[in-house]
Amino acid sequence: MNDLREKDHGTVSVADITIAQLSRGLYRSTATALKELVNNAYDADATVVRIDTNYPEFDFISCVDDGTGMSLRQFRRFFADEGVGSCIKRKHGKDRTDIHERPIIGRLGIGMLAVGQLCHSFEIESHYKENGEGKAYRAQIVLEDISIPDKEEFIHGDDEKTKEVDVGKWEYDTIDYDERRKGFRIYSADVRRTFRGEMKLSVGKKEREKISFRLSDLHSEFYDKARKSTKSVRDFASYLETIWELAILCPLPYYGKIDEYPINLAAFGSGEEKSKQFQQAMQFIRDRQQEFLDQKFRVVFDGIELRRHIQLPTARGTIPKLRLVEFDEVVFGSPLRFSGYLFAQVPSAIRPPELNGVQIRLRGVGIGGYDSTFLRYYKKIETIRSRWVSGEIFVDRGLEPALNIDRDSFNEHDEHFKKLQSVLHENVRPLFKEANAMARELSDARRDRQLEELKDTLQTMVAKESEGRFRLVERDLEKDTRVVIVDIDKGEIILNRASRPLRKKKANRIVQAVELAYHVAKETAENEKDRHDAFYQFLRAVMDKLV
Amino acid sequence: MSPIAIDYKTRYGKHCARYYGWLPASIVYKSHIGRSPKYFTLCGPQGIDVFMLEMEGVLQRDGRGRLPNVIIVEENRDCWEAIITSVRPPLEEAVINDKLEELIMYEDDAEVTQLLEMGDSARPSKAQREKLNRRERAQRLRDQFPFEIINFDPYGNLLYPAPENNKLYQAFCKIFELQAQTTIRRFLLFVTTPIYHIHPESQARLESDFESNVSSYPSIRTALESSLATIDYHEICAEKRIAIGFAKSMVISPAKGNGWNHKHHGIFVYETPSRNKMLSSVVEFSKADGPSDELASVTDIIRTIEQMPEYYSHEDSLGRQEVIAHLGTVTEYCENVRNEFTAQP
Repeated sequence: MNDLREKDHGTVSVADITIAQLSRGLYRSTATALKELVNNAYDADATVVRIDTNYPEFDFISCVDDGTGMSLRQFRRFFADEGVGSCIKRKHGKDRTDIHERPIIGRLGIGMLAVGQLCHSFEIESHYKENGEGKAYRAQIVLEDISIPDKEEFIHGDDEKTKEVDVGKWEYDTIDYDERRKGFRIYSADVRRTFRGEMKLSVGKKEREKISFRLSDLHSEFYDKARKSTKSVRDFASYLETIWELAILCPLPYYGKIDEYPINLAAFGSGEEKSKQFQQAMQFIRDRQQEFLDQKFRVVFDGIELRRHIQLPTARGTIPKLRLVEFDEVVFGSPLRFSGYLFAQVPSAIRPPELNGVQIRLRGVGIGGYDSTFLRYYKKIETIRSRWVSGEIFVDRGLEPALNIDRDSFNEHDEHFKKLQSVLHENVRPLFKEANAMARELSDARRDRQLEELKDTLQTMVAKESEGRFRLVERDLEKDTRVVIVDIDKGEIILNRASRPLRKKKANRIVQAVELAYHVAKETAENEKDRHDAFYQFLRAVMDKLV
Repeated sequence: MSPIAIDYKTRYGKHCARYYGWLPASIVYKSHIGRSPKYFTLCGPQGIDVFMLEMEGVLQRDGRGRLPNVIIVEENRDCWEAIITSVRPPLEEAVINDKLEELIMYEDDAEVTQLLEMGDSARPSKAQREKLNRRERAQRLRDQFPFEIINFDPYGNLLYPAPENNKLYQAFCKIFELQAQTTIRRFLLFVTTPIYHIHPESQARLESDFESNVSSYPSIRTALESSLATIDYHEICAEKRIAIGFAKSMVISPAKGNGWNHKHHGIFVYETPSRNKMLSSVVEFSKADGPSDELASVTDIIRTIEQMPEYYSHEDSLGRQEVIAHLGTVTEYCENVRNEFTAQP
């Protein structure tokens, strides 16, 4: 600080203590942390990755895959030489994995540290091939917590100099290669109390009695219950929520048969399924499903094989709409390509609400869950209509620089993000509009139907109460005339359609009903008691219909 | 050989012990109590005993397809992983990943006590966290007592090292104490150990207990003379004398010391494919209301002398078609259960 020059230049650097916080975890939830381990297995061409939490004690975590493993050279680079975040997966322009040609997900090389969010220390074991020769090692990584008091001391203390921060210690031993153990394993019996506490709390004895490890049972747990109530996935136990979220975020095929998931064709029948837009969107979904199936990647969580659990529509008796979204252009000098579908069910909210909105999938991986604001669609404040829509956008090229370090959100000022946002808004606008028009039509039709039913009821009741002496007719009389007029000579009780003393239609109906009840009772009953009885009887019956 | 590398699906000698010993005793026990028993096992990576007992109706799944009341302890991390893959689901409880003897024999030391007193203000090191975690696992296991069937089938050896230095054997003895501290009146024990590697002190103990029994109990002496034509320990064939000695010295003694009467349903000596000999006993224990029943105890020892062990060489087990077929059915059943839970929709 003593040699402050009048003019100088240099590079911008980040204090070690800030970077060191990475080891403590930066992920929003357990599922998003686990997703990072799954992504690593996916990039390693694994066909299956098994995550176990030793449910219901959650005192041990393991993540085992059968991929190409991590070489000792990579391990050293990561932990000893270059440091955490020195990813070389995409060096030399590599964009796809060697065996299954999957789009490589990892970019920075911090995914493995996600496990640090769940445990204090962990062990890894890797069995891999290098130049055709089988090699293996076992390593221990102990993460030192950069505790909050330490950080507070730096922020508020007297020492202004930042210092290098060790986030942990590592050691490894080479072991014999075992073909049966080919792949990468992470274990930890040193689980954080926070993770364990949250999970254990969520599956007490009572909850455990309800949990089944059959995928179909879990499916009904999330969907059937959500359909029947206003429950969201968050209302289920944290443990179930983790399963659900992980299944949605991972690059996995949809659950179930293609004509039922994610779009249930049995729910269509209004002619929508014949439209070109629908056919295109369905073909897109089928192609995507096939791509995921071709990647031959499975995730098994505590013995449960995960799939993307999406079935639309989520309510019966709704009018479904399906639209395709496509974009492929150069934006700000680099290509951006995405495609997806938007689905609307009119007029019923998507259940569970976690499926409402749009899920952006980057290289197949869900980013941040379903965004119910449709990437901040503030053109109009969408409340009801936006709840009817669910969709997925698959970004195949571009947008990655916009991804924040937690891989769970985007830098919203990035040009690619801005473009994605505007294209999405262009697509949701007509869908919302169409849904709105359909909803209005449905609403008008329902109101007309109710009105006709009410008229029939009133006519029947008037005839019944007056023992056939009167019939109910509607006429346009002068505005100032009363709502109901009784013509004894003609045997008519006339409902004046022109009389609208109140602005609300329903209020008008109530006034009409009261007057009708009054006149019918007055003209038909012989004494005061009968008049009272007839009046209330009539009124109650009409009100049942009206209110 | 690492336990994970063992192909349990072709270990027919061991399956003889399961098929002729563990299974019938379990079926009878279940019929007595009229429900699925609470089962403790060190089942190993394939969980064959668990699936066998489930397939044969001893252990039953609940309405959601889970197997409640099955407690597994597994020390080896690789085996733990294999168990998790093969047995859970449908297992309901978590698998306890630690050394059984460490859990059973666990007691708080000064450091742990101090950490516990500090409560949330403690910032334990990794080693301290390990201690605290072990404490919790030990507590969890103890909370699960009593068990109605205990399958004590460890990777370790109960006869090596000498009993005084053998923590596994000490844990085995402690189980009788832990069971006795509960209200259970009767339980079944399967205990398995290698007998091809016996510590001289263990050997000496088997021998001295044998001689003491012969001199103290004329009926035992008579039984030896009539069925084996000798009372000389060394003249009895190795499998038989070890079986008798193991029953008396290693099983009956600690059981009686904790107030349990005993009845052997069978002792099985079998060979592994590498020709190593193993011993597996099936014993039923019932709580003695007063001092343990001496007459019943002697009668049980005489029965072991006269009728036990059953011996299955590797070749012999390969010729037992019903055993091979049964093990095949059990392994097929395992696969079906796994597929049921992980089948693609």
